[in-house]
Amino acid sequence: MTQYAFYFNGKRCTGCKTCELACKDRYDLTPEISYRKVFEYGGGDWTKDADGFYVPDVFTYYVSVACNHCDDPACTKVCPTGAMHKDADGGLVLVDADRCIGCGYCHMACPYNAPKVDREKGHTVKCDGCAERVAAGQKPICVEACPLRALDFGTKEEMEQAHGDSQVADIAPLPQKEYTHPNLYVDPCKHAQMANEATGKVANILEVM
Amino acid sequence: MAAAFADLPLALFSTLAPMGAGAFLILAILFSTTKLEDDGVAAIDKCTVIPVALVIVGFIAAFFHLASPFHAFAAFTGLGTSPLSNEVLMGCVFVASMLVYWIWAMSGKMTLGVRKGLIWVVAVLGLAFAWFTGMAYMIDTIPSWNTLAGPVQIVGFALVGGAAAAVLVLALAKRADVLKNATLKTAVLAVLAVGIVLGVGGLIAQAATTSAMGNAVFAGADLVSGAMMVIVCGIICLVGTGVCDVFAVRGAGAGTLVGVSFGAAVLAIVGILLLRLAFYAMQLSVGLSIMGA
Repeated sequence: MTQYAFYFNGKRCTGCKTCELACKDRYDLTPEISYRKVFEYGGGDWTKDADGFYVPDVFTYYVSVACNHCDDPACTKVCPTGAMHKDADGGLVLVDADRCIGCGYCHMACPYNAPKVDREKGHTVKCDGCAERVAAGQKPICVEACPLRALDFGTKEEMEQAHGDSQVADIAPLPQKEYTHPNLYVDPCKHAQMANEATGKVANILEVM
Repeated sequence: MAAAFADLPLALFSTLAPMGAGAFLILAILFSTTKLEDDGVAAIDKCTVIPVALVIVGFIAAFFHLASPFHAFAAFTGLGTSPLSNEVLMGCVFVASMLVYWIWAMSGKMTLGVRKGLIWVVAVLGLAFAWFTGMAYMIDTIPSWNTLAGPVQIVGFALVGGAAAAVLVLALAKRADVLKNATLKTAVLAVLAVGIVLGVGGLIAQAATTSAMGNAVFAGADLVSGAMMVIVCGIICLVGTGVCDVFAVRGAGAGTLVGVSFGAAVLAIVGILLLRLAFYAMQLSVGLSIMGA
C-alpha cells in the first residue's frame, strides 16, 4: 500500500509561517482553525564556566506540523463512528464529513493537535494532505509555498530516497514517535532536542492554539 | 482552568447522568429491605422522576455537545474499538432499562417480585454506565487521564450524588419514616461515605500524578495549581452533601427533611460539576494537544 509522508527540514525553516498561511488561504480557514502550525520551541539557561563566567546555552527553533497521517493514528483509534479513517490508497488520514458527529474525541487524542471540530461545518476538519492536488500530480500547497524549501511530500519511499539523512519525527516539541508512528521525516537543526530528552517549552502558545 | 469551560456540556453530562444512575442503587436497597404500603410505593415512583430527569438532562447536554447531533446514531459504529462507542452503548442500555422500570412502575402494574429484580438490574447497569463513562477518558496519548482514577472518580460521584438524589426522592415522597429504617439508614451512610472516598480520592490521586508530568506546552504542576481552588470548593460541597444527608437520615424532622435533602442534592451537583471541570483542566497530552484549542 502506498503511504504518503511529509518531510520537514529544521535546518532551513526560519519560522516564517508561509506554509501555515498558504494553507489557510487555500482552504479559506477562519482565524481559529489552522491545518498546519509552526511551533516555536525554545529553552536553555545560563551556566557558570570554569573561569567564573556565565555562559548562555539558550536555543530556539521552529517545527512546522500538520497531520502526520500516522501509521497508528490516535484519532482513528478513538473515533466512535469510523468517520476518521485511513485512506486505503495513500494512507492519508481523512474525515468522512457525512459520518462525523463532531464529538471532538479525535481532537483530544491526537498528540499533534491536528484535528479540530468546526461547529459551523458540523464536523471535524484537518489536513488531508491536499488529497485533490496530490491526485492531480501536485504537491500540497504548504510544500509549494515554502520559500526555503523546508517542506516536501511524497510516498514514504520517495521521502527516504530524497532525504536520506532524515529520520521519522522524534524531536521536541513533538511526542515520541512510538505513540502514533507519524509519517513525518525530519532533518533536525543542530539545536533540536530528542522528544524524550526535551527541556524546552513551546514559546508561541497563543499562535498555535 | 478557564479552558475547561469549553467542555462544560461534557462536564454536565458526566455530573448529572451518573448521579441519576447512582440513585437507583439506594432505591434498589430500599425495595429489597423495606416493606412499603402501596401508596408509599406510588409516591416514591412519582418522585423517581428526579433521578430519571437527571439522567435525561445529562444526555441532552452530551447530545448538544456534538457538532452534528443528528448523526449521533453513527456513534455505535466503533463498538469494541472506541471507548466512546462503548460508553454510548452502555448508556443507552442503562437508559432503556431505567425507562422500562420507571414507566412500568408508574403504570401501577408491576409486582413486587418484578420490581425487586428489575430495579437491581437498573442499579447495576447504572454503576456500569458510570464506570464506562470514566473509561472513555482513558486515552493513551493523555497520560494524566489514562489511569483508573478516572472511572473510580465517576463511580464515586455516582454513589455520593445518587445517594443525595435518592434521599431527596424519599423526602419529597414524604417517606421520612423509611429513611429512619436502620438498614436503609446504614446503606445511605455507607454509600455516601464510599462515594466521597472514591470520588475525592480518585481526583486527588489523578492530581498527584498529573503534577509530576509535563509536556512542551504545560507543566502538570501548573495545571493542578490552576485547578486547586475549584478542587477545594468541590470537595467542600461534597462534604456538605454528606453532612446534610447524615442530618437527613439521623435527625431531621419531617418539616426540615425536604429542605435539608434538597440542599444536599444541590451541593452534590455543584460539587461534582466543579470536580469534573477540574478533571478536564488536568488534561495533559504526551504531545501538543491543547485543551479547548
